[in-house]
Amino acid sequence: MKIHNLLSALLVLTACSNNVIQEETPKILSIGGTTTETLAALGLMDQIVAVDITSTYPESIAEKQNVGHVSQIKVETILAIPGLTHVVVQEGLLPEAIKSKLDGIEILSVPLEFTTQGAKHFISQLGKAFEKTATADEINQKISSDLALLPKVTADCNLLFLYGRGAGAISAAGKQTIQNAYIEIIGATNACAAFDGFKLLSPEVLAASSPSHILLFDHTYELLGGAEGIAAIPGIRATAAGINTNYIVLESSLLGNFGPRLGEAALAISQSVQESTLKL
Amino acid sequence: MTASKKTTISLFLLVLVLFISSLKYGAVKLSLSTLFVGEASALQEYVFWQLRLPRSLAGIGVGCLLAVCGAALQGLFRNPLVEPGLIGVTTGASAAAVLVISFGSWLSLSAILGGLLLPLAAFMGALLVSFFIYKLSQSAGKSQIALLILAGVAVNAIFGALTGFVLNYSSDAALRSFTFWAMGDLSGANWLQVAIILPLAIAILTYLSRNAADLDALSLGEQAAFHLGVDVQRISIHIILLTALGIGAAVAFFGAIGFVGLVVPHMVRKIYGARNAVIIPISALLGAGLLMAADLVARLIILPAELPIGIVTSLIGGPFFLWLLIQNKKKLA
Repeated sequence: MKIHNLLSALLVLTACSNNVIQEETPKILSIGGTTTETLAALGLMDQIVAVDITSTYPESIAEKQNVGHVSQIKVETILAIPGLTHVVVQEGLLPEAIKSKLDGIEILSVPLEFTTQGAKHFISQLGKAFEKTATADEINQKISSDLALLPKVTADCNLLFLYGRGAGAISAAGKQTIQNAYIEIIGATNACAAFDGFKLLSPEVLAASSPSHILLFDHTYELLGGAEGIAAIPGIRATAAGINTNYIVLESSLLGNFGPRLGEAALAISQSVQESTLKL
Repeated sequence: MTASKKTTISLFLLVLVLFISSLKYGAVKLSLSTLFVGEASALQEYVFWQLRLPRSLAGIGVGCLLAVCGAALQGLFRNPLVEPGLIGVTTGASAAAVLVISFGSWLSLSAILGGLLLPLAAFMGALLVSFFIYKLSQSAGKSQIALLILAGVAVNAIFGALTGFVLNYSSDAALRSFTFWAMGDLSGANWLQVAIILPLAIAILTYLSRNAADLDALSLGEQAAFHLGVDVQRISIHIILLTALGIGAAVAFFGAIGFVGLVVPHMVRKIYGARNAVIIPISALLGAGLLMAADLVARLIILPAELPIGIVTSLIGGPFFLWLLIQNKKKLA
């Protein structure tokens, strides 16, 4: 078992450092929304044969086989994908226990740090692995040029990212999340910086975090019942965001991925913040 | 002053202290004096009037309802191990509430009944299970606790699975999470819910206190109660209806909070003896206190997040239940 682990770890290492993979056309299982979006942007759409449930961009990805949620993925599901040669995954998403059992399949596990540099590094790594270094550089340049256009948002803009499947289960994004990274990139403050990851918020903590703007996925916004539904969440009406209905709603793959459209997403958030400030 | 009077007064004071603490402590720092004489910020005003006060009052109402209903059911089934959660009444209420949220709009029921739809549905669910379990235990002639508890396990499994199934296949935002339906949560309490739950608690408490003598007679067995002049049929039906209504409303608004109905009447019985005229009102008081205490722990222990309150009550109630079982075993041996 140990040797097995070592071997697969070696495989990962070689895959990361070597830039030669393509002996024949790879058939890729891509895991993670950012991973899939990056591979597609690198021009590898045709090589992707299967994705996980968080891979929703580009839209045409819906035609590929879907292996479900990564936390519930089974070894057999992966092995059953016909002709699969590569599993490309954002580091930390696929459990070691599964990786160690994927004999004969190359696993490319790439770390994604939630900073602009981290995202660019992720894109470069994937580009290098599939000999698309030039495309990767172009993507990274686009990110830089988008971010150069970013208007200054003052730090007293307090953004709160809410995620939830219902009125009783609203979580907020703390540190170490993609949405926290976006909030920092545009120069605003995360209203919930007291914890890491996503946590369920009690009404009092929500009220006390006093956000000036609330950031949401489009599907969360619809699920909660739009502006009216959000106003009904206990605690919201005590906040400036709730009083002024400052809700910034973005497409979930734009706000949930942290890859090629990083600059675009940051621009969209920052513009919405500015528009709502003008409205006042 | 008798010992039990002293206990009652200290219990009353304890509940008062808990009520004030539950108004004062939480994620947002509040000073009650600035709220009433000084100048409080808009946030503090909001947190106090819209979040804390309804939450504390809901805690009183729900604690009182659960404890009193537990005591009444124990009297009706003539067995101290009966608890709404254990015999499946709570899960029945949860399942009905979840079903109505998912399909209620489709049947356009919510348009007709409005805010009352959810508690009414939960009431129906609780009622269904209560009657079924009661009939089952009656058919054996005398109350058979093993049968009762095992039937409760089965009912809990069925309705728990039903709830889980609906939660998985419905995307309705009003559904809340499985944890809510299994563990309860007081944090979202609002004034409408308080306006329903408090009067209901007072009404049920009053009725049961007035008919406590009948419950006492019932504990001697139905035959004996009948010969003492108790209308057994009538009081049984009333207790089943009222407890289903009380538990249904509590579950519909605040989820399933376990073990309160078991632990509280027991503690009261230990101190005050077996007279229902005492057990019922004192259970109401202790139930309110216990629930507010559990809610304080739930909201303070893992700031900025909150524990579901049922985790706290189950952590107290689970070991207590085991202890009771061991005691019972010793008695039988």
